[in-house]
Amino acid sequence: MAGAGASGAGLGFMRHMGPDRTQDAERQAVDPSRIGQKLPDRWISSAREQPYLRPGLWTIFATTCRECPAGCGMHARIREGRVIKCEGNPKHPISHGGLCPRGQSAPQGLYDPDRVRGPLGRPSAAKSKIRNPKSEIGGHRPLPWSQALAEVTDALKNAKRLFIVSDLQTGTLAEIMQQFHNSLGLPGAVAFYEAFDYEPLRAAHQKLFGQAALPRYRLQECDFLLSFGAEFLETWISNVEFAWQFAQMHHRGPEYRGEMVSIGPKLSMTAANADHFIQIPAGQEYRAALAILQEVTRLRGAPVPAAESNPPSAIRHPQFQEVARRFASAKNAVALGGPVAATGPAAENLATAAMLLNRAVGAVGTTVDFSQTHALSRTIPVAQLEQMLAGLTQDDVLIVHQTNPAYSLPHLRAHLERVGSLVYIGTMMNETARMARWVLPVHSPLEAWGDYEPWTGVHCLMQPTMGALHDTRHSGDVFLSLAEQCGRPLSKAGERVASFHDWLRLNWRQLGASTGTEPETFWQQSLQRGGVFEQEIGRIGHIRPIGETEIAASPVGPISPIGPISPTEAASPETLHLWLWPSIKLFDGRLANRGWMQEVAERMSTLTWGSWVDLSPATAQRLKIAEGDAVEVSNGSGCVTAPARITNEVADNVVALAFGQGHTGLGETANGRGVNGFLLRTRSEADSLFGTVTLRKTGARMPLTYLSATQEQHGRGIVRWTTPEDLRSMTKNDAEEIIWPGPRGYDPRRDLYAPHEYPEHRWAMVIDLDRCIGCGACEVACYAENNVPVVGPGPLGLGRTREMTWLRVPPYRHPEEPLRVGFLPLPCQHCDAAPCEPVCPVFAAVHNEQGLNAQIYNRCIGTRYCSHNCPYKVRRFNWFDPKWREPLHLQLNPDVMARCRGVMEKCTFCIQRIHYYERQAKVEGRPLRDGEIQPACVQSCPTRTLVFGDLMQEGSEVSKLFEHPRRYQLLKELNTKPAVIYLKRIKPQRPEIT
Amino acid sequence: MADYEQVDQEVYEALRPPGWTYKGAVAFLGLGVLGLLGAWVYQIRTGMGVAGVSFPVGWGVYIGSFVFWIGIAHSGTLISAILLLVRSRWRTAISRSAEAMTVVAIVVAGMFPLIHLGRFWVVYYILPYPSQRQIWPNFQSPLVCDVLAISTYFTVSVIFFYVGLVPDIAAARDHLQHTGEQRSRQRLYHWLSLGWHGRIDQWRHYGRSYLFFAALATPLVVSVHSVVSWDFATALLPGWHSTLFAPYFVAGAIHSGLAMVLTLLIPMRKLLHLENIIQPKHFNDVALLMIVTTLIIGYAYAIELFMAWYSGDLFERQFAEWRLTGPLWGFYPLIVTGNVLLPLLFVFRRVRANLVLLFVLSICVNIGMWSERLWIVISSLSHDFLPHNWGWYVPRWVEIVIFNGSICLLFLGFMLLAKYFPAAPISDIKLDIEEERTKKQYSPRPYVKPSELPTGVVSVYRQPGEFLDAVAKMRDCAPYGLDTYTPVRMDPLVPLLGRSKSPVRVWTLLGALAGVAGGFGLAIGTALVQGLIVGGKHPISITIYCIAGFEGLILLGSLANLIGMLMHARLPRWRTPPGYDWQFSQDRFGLFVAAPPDRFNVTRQILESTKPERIYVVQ
Repeated sequence: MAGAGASGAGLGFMRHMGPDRTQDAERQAVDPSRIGQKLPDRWISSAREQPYLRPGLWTIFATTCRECPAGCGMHARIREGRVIKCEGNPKHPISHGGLCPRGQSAPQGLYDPDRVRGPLGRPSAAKSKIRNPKSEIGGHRPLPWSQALAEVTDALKNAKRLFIVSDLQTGTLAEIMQQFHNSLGLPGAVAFYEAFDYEPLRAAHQKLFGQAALPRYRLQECDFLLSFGAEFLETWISNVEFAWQFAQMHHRGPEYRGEMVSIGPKLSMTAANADHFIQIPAGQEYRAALAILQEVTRLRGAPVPAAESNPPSAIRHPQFQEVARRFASAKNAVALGGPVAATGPAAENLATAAMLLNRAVGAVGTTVDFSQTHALSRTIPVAQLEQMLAGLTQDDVLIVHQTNPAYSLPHLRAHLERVGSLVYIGTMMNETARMARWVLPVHSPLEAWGDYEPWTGVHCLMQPTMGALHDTRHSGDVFLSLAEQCGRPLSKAGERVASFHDWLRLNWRQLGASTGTEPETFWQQSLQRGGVFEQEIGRIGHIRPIGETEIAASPVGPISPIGPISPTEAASPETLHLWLWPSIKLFDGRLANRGWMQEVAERMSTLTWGSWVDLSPATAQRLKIAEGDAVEVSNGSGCVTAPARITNEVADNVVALAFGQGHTGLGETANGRGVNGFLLRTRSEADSLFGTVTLRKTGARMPLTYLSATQEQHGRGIVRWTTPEDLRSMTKNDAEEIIWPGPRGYDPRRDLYAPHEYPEHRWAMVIDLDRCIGCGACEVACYAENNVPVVGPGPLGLGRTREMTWLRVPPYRHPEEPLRVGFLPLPCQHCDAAPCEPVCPVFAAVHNEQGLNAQIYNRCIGTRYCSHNCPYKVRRFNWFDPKWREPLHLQLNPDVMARCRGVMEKCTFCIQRIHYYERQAKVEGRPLRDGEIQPACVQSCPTRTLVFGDLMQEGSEVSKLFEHPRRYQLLKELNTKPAVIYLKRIKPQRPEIT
Repeated sequence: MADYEQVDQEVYEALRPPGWTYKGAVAFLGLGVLGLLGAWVYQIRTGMGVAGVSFPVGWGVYIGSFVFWIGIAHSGTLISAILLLVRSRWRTAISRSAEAMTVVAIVVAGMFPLIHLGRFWVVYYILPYPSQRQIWPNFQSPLVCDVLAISTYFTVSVIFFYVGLVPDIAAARDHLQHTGEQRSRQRLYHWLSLGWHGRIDQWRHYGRSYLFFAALATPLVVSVHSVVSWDFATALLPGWHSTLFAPYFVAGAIHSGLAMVLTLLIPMRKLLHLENIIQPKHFNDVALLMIVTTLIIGYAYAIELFMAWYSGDLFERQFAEWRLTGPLWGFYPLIVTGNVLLPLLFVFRRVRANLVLLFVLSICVNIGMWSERLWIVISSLSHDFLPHNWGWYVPRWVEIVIFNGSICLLFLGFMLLAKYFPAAPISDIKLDIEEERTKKQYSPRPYVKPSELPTGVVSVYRQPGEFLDAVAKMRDCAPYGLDTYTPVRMDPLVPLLGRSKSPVRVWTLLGALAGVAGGFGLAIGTALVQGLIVGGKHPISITIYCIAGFEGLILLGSLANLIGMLMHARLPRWRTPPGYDWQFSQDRFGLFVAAPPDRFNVTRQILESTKPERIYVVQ
């Protein structure tokens, strides 16, 4: 990547990533708290403040996604000074150009209507009875920054102890927080808290290698992947990275293909992508892992840990033996242990067994690399945090930064209430903020400078992509100001630093010094790239390898003793194992106030806007629970009521519930939707990963609205599978017949009308179903790019589905194997003989000269016939006027019209992008390059499932893929001649594990 | 059959000012219509989402009701036109009511496509008008075909209804003027009757023109519901995509239309005291006709299932199975019972003779047919190709209020028409009586000119035979011309006065030819302007443009026919012709022989020899 402003990666008009920030730096010296200027009474773009933004043209800034601790590289696309769309940074070593639904929703976080817009405070508990409801926000009154800072300073001065609990930070902000705490000289601690801290994994690694860290996995290099409920394609540590790695592993050459086995009680989205999913009863995960471990170590001739404590008969389960055999014989095998949110000894044991498996096949040090660890390793274990908070008193000050313990640790609310002064520094008025005495609003990650090091040596940089929307400041600046007001200004290397930005620059100057590049060039390059990633870390890290003898010496090794594997457990019929899981959309609940995250279907269930509990059909029958019956789930720590969903995705002894819902104070969109899974989260002492719960049918009904009516195919061959063996044995002529769009698809015996000619382009898409993991990033990308409105739960109720998504990814089951799932990304097929077009009375649906099935919104009168005649049903009707609560409307893409009620809308292959690049190519006097145009869905995909291009261009990727042996057309027999070709999903044919 | 006076008495009695029951009923129905308007406005302002339609079932009660009401609208023109052409006598008694029902039903039906539109306020985009943007509608769309078919059907039905009314309105006008009652109505009838006075040249063109209307309306009736059925059949959804649809829909339309005739006429006959005009034998004939439609529908139901199986198509087979066993299973027994099994009872004479039973059965058929339409619309939409899209439909209150309002509108419109216009075709009924009374043949003569002078002698006859004899006698001794005024069309007068066949037929032919050319020309011409490709078809797709051509033929043919008739019959003419008497539109025949005052006596003497009821001089 060359210097500033160069158009790298063919982004042309868009200034690629790096604006000249010198002016900003100067201005910041004057006002360190802001980049753009806040105009309080109008929503106006901050373009005025950013002279490098040219109206009408796209600008791209490289930054880092901070929606979860993964730290993916992100490109923010800017128009008129506003962030419109976030995309993956193609050069980033973590995300490789993809971005998950959460990252795609970042702009909605920025424009969240329920963000805190200015500092708030409330009188201390004694005075809080007198309230003026008009000017208050949840009992808080707006304050000027000066007063808010002065009040917090007072509290700090009088404090006996100071605790800072922040979301996971590394780099400059972490340094400032630590220094801030140090400079005040108060007892207490700085703790980085994440609801999902992977503590069992770290504990296991501590036991095994003396390093309580999360190693970097290189799944792309492995041939056999074994997951014990680790949802690594959704939420586990770094899901976009793993999704990319997984796709690489699955598609390494035509002959050579990695295999994945997933073992667990729940068919998660990740498990649905496994080549084999083995459903086992909950509570048996770690026994299964151990059984495989014993077999593997036996096969590899290594000492068998803990073997004596288990009856061999239980271990010699044929399925596990086969898994172990393959695991042991694979060139590179990796085992991933444990679901995201599990805690307790069972989870620890599972993680230990998984890591021992890795160690047994020599993966540690190669594909499991402890020389690079994840930043999550720095988070405080929940147990420690509990201890810390439990001791809070009236004399303490607790500063909570960008995290929400009141929601994710609900049983600690009492401790939080006891603290003398709770200061909340963050963007959202969440449950914790509502308990705080002062709320100091800060920039959203898209408005702020910052750096983040998710993996050792991967330094990601964040830069403001637009001016601040509200009266907010940078978190770092808040700490700096507080320190200053307390009379203990912070300094870096003996020098006072005025702002967070300066501190950041200093840090990066140091980082650059090691590379030998001129500091300013290094800074500019880093800004454009989104960070510095080159620093190679030695492959062989400083692991304390645990000796074979050490394991052998102890009769149980590092694993606690367990009982035998038993299919049924003696418990009361209402007692079931709990299975808590974070979804790829809502994660730990911090994104629940974003309409996109609520409305896009949950990946497996296709439910939206709420919670439900999964029960197996047998359990439901046993407990006489029907689909949609309200069920009360309770354990020692809490009790929730949610509708039951009956599905074979879960084992018979499990009740599964997702995290993320049940907010009481996050915002209008999130509040009151579903139930909070954290209420049931316990550190279970038993075998079970999440403990057990009691189920009770309440008698109430809570109907569920699925966005996909069914996952059965009814023999219609919608999602198709093939096997590697079949692929190997087939010749070129064996590929399924397709009817080409354009003149090539003309057949006088079949067609009434003359061949369909195109003068220049014929856009087409190829969707590789084997690559699709069903994450739904494309869906959210489409929402963001195309101004697709969020309808809300009301119109979705009563069996009516009125959501507007242009691109759905429904899951479909294999006709013979009930637990084999294929995801079907279904955009408009842009048929050559599109049935939707001729039925439109007003030519609102027409074919354009580039093969697109275009919809002219302002021509549409709303007969809905096009939708009815579309066999794929990809058209969406605006049943109501779309609403964007201010300032969400600032996210609207100016290149795409917003549609009013009564208008049909649909996927356009992002026609606005096609035209943009066409113009650009024209300006530059060159033909369009293949792959230059990427519709939003194509760009977002972490696994490169979708390929878009021109069918008329010689040698373009799509025209090659149209000849792919796995090709087929959806509903080809209707002769609609779709321009979207699907490639069959691959399923193994070798001796079945399942 | 009664005589002239009896007919007049019954019909005029029905036209008397309404009583409180009637007013109450109108108010009640009006409330329902107001509810419709309110709900519609609410829906327009808020969005289609207030109705129960959603994804994937975007058509529900609205389109189902549209198809139903269009079907209802079929029987009127069927009875008036087709039965006229096949000279079926029993049509006269009920034809007016059936036509009135048709006109109102088209209005009600035509409302539903507008109601179901997402953006009602730009509905005019669908009309072929030269807009500044040069965007024309898509003549390949079955919905445009719908617009053409329904607007043509509406226009032709209204003309047909009105033209048929003209002599009767004239009769009512004269009756009211004579009695001096209801001034405002007198004025209304005066204008609406276009100055009809039953002169020979009026009757001559009128009779011919009416026949052509019937000839044009007959294929139209069959075509309209065929076009409506193609809304579904041209789609590729299982359950819709079938060549069976046109005959299936047309038979169903006539079936339900006839049932609705029974539903409306059986109570109306009682309320308006038309027992002598509308007799049980007429209902008997309607029921007999319904047996035919019942059998066709039963056949269609059977063949639909058979074809689903016989096609071997997976989607069709699964769909047919789902229809019978899925959540909509209740519809099928309801439909088969209502539309086939119950009306089959009409084969029993006793059932046909029992008016109460007829009424109940007709309502069963209406319910069955409405359910069938709704079922066809929603079942295919909720269960198409990709299972994840399968959906569900439950109507919401907005749809229910609007549908209820549409029923109210139909009854209201029908009640108003029945009360404000002669509820039975007076002149047609009289003609039926007349044809029994005059059998004598007269030899043709050269042209006898109409009266040239405003003065002359008028003789009045009670018996048509005497009147014709008098005309035969006078045609040779009227140097200044003569005029006849008759309450009915008298075909013998045409040769008697040396009149040829009406040139209206040429008008009609030219209009029809212009219509065909215009229809195709409009479709092809607008396609050429835009050159848009839809569905991979060439912009000019002749097959489907045939509908535009056909509708053009009927529409312009009818309009030309109307214009030709008005021109030749010299209508409208507001002045009363010389010697006209109010009785001439009731039960007397008048012969006006023009003469200057000096010939009064001579003429009078000759006329007196023709045994007139009375003679008077016009000065």
